[in-house]
Amino acid sequence: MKKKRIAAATISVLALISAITGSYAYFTDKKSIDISAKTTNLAIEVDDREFTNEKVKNMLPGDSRELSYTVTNVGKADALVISEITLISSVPMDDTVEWFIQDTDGNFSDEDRQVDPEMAGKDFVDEVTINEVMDSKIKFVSLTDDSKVAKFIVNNGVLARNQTSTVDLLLTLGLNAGNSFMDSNCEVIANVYGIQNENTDGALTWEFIKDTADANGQIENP
Amino acid sequence: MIRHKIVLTVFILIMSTYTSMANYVDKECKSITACAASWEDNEETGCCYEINNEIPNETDVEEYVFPVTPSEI
Repeated sequence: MKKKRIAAATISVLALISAITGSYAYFTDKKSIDISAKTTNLAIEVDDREFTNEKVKNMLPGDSRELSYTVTNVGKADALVISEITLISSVPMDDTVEWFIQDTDGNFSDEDRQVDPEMAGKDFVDEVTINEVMDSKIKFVSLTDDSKVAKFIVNNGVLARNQTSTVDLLLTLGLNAGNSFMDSNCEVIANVYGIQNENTDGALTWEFIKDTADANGQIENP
Repeated sequence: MIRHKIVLTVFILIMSTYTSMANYVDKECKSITACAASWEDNEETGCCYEINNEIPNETDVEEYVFPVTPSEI
């Protein structure tokens, strides 16, 4: 008998709770808005029609030949354009390199043709920061142990979107080139990099820029 | 278990560091080859030294023949 009373009381309490909960209904309404964030893109194109073997054949010591290429920013963001020029000589070069590139003014001094001792013997330029690159138009940054590979970094400035800029350089065979340079070759490789201009930390190293570009290239062309 | 957590934490830290340093970068590559000139002997155009040795300075002249006589001049 006692059990029945307890059961009845429990059922009553539950019924009461259910009734109270049910009375908590409200009028409600809901609106939802959303936007979609979009990233911009960055892309450069290089026109190399004036960057030909014909312009740099049969060079004699003291000769300077004009090389040029055109860079167009075909992306939507402003790009900081920097070129890495690699000269691969078929014969070893001196401490004051015989093959070098310079501005069209042709005012590269002997000192400019000597690599910083810290960069001697290296074939990479990882320590150079963007800030250091921006300090000068052309910077001679590394010479390998075998003295055959010299690297120069050229600051081509900021290119706004849809803007085109021509990079004019002189490839020079210095007067210190001896007979060992007769019939020799020098491969000239121009790696042109476009880097986002906004929000870029000037302390970023050149190695980071190159690694990022290579990684992006692998993603685009797996 | 704790070791796994440490490894995971280090991995996340490394990945977050790389992510925070990513930038938009594009790259184009072009190359050419420059050639230094060679010194080629050209038999048709001998140098000054060779020409002087082939044409002697003293030439024997036996007589001069004028195309016209002095009276005609």
